[in-house]
Amino acid sequence: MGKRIAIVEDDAGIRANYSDALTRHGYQVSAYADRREAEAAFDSRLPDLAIIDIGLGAEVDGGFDLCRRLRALSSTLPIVFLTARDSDFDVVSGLRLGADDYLTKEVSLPHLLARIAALFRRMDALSATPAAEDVLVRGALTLDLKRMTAQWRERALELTVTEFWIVHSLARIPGHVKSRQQLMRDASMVVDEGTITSHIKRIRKKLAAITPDPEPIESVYGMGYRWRTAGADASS
Amino acid sequence: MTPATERARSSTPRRFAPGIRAKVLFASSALLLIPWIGYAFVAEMVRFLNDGQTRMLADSASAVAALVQERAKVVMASPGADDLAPALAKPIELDGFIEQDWIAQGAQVRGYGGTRLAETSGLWTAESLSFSHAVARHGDHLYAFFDVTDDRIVYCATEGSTACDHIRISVKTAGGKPRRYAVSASAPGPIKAAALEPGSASQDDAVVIEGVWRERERGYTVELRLPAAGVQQIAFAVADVDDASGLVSAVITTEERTAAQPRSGFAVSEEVAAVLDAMARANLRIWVVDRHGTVIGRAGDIQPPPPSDTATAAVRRALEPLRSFVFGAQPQVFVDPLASASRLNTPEIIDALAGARAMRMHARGSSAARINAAAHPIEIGGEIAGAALVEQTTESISHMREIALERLLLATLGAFVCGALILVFYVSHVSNRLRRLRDEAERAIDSAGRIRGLVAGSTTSDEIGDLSRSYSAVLQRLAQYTDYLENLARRLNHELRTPIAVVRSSLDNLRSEAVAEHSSVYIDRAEAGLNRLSAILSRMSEATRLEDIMRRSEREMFDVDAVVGGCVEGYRVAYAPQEIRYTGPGHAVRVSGVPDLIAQMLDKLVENATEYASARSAIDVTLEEDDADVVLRVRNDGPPLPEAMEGGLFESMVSVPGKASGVPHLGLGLYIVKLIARFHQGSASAANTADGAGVVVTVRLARYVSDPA
Repeated sequence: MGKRIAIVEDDAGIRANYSDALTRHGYQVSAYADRREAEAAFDSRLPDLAIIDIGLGAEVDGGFDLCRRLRALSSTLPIVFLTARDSDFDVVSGLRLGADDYLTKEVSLPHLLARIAALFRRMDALSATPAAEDVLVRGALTLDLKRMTAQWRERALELTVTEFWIVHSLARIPGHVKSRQQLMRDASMVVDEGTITSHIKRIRKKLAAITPDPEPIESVYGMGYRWRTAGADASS
Repeated sequence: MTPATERARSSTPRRFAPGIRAKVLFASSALLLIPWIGYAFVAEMVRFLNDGQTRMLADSASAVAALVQERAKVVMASPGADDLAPALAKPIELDGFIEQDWIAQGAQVRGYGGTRLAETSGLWTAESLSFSHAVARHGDHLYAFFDVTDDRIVYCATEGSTACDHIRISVKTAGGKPRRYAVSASAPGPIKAAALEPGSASQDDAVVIEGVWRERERGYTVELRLPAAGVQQIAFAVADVDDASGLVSAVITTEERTAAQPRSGFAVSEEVAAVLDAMARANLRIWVVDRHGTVIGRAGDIQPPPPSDTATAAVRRALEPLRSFVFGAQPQVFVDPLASASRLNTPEIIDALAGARAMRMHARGSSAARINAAAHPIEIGGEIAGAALVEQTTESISHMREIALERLLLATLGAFVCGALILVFYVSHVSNRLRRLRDEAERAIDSAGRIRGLVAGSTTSDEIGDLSRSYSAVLQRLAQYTDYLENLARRLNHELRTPIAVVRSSLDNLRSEAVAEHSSVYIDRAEAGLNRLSAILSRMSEATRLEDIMRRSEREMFDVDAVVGGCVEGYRVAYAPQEIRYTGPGHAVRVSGVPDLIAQMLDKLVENATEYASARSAIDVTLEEDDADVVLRVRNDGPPLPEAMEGGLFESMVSVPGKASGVPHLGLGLYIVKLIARFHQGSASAANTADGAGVVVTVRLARYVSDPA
């Protein structure tokens, strides 16, 4: 039996397209056009993953309300925002409400599917013991690739899937400069470069929340970013 | 206000232009008419008072005339004596010397010469005959003297002959015929006149003329005496005989003296004089003259009173310069031309003596203190016996005028000072309000054409309040419109994303289905088009997003050299084979700001440069420091900027067509450069290079100055 995915999207075309694509990949999809309908369904049974649009029909912020309610019902349910809104403000609001990822509608279906798969993998891996090859350790950073969880200086680092992938892409080979295009490819998303910048900014903030200095992600202007090498880390 | 008009306004130098305050003050100078009208009114009042005074004087004159007429003590003057010759106080001694009695008593001596030459036989000169002569009266006798200049004195052989130097006398007595006499001498000494027509008249009415002949150097003097009684007419002539032949060579005549017809005269009685004295108040002078203009009676004085020392004297002294500037200087000396006259022949007297009953107004004296006079004839016994003249100075009127003008001056000055203060205050208030409104209006829209804040509509209910309110309403509408426009890009972006997502997901679905080989080409093309569409959308909202970022991001201190150097390294890869050179200062250049933004700005600049750069030319990026700024230049060879565009390139939506490329060109690139430069307290400008071969874009950023502490 496939995982059950709920899509809450007011646009019939997108709803149908995503439903079709997800169904084709073996997921069980239930699609809802507005918040009321979705809430009624969620009250009786929670899906395994929810994809929510922020603007739902007449409700401009209906998706946020729905996310809040879902998070209240279950703290582990993966929630993904899939929306046309790309302003920093909306992204931050969405993630603060407990969403696991925030995707804009530019995302292609393969990317969306990859991300959903990753979220499910993380869900599944939470109970299993991590295999050694699935753990990447770079100095103070520990990435569990199976569970998609990260630790920074022995403390849990809460990352969205996109952020996790960006960190992973950077930290895999420290000192190697990753361009924004590369990061975008590794994080399975197609957005403009400014979005990468704001993702990096958010990751830095999360890292800084644990220890303020030194900053492990280094900007290489005109080229991209790189993970500070252990040597540089040690020397500082 | 668009950025273009703002630029146009600020580029024109502010010449001096009169503000509302100056204009209102200028317009209010029309109020100067008020003191002028006041002055004209005072002048009219003075004229009226003068008129009244003259009328009053005329009335007084006629009253005086009536009084004198009624109470006149009629005196009959002796007929003619006065007219024949002036009376002398002391008797005249017939001795041939004139100094002691004639000259000493002030007799009227006249000279006679060529102008009165009656007959001449040949050459006449002043040396041959001329004389001085006077006539006088004392007691019952008339006296005459002749001081004759004669180069050759010829005495008579016999007494009474006329064949020698002699004096002819023509006398007419009352009731008698004119008789002619001649006085000659056979030697100096006493002489007697002889009648020229012997036998034609009886001895009874013959006039006895006695005299004395005295010789002097180059001439002789003769003194004559004859009884004055009955003489009505008398004339003299001096005849000169120059040789023994006895022929008269020259005769010079005197004027004919005639006694007037006897008329009644009058005198002013004590009683009348007392009345006149009572009538003559201060500054009123009454004259009574007889028909010859001789003063018979006089009362009063018109000397001006000494200037009163009033309480306003100090004020007056302070205002004197202004007063004299406005009204003219006041003469300090009062001159009365008639002060001690014994005979009056002023025009009004002459007219009155001629019988003009109508009063005469006449003003004498200096312009400031004039004298008004009115005369009235005095008739006694049906004929004009004299005249009454009443004079008064206009001193009181001019004093009044002066006080009136002074008060007018003070009042006007006060009113003007108060009015001007109030006006200046009010106009300043109005113009301040307008200026405040203007400043608010200017601040309301920033240089990017964005409405920053609304003008608070004033609650005042006048026109300025209206203007303020309607301006604020206009701004509000404009703000709504700008808001709409700004959000249009954002909204369009948002609204278009959903259909794009539909297309994209549809294409993705389509691709996952088994499609024929040739169909996938179309899917690829559709996706390529879709990607371009997405790029356009994201660029449309780039500027607004940038502003969001700028608002949120925190400044840090960083090295621009490192950022620019790193970026250029990246561009070399990205834009290969385009050559990009970088010349840095060789040391760290510190700027406070956001390095990502600087990188983004450089992206735009280089992207822009590559777009216009001519093939196989290099793009030069230079970074240097000057006194206050960090200067970043990006130069590319290529078509020069159109002149009109040089200033406006950095505005939003302004674009110069470049190479055709797949990247949409919305004209926002350099606008973003400007936004970022301004965020770093800098500026951006573009200009053609000196050789015209290319374009250089210059960005100045404020250099980071470390705290002295």
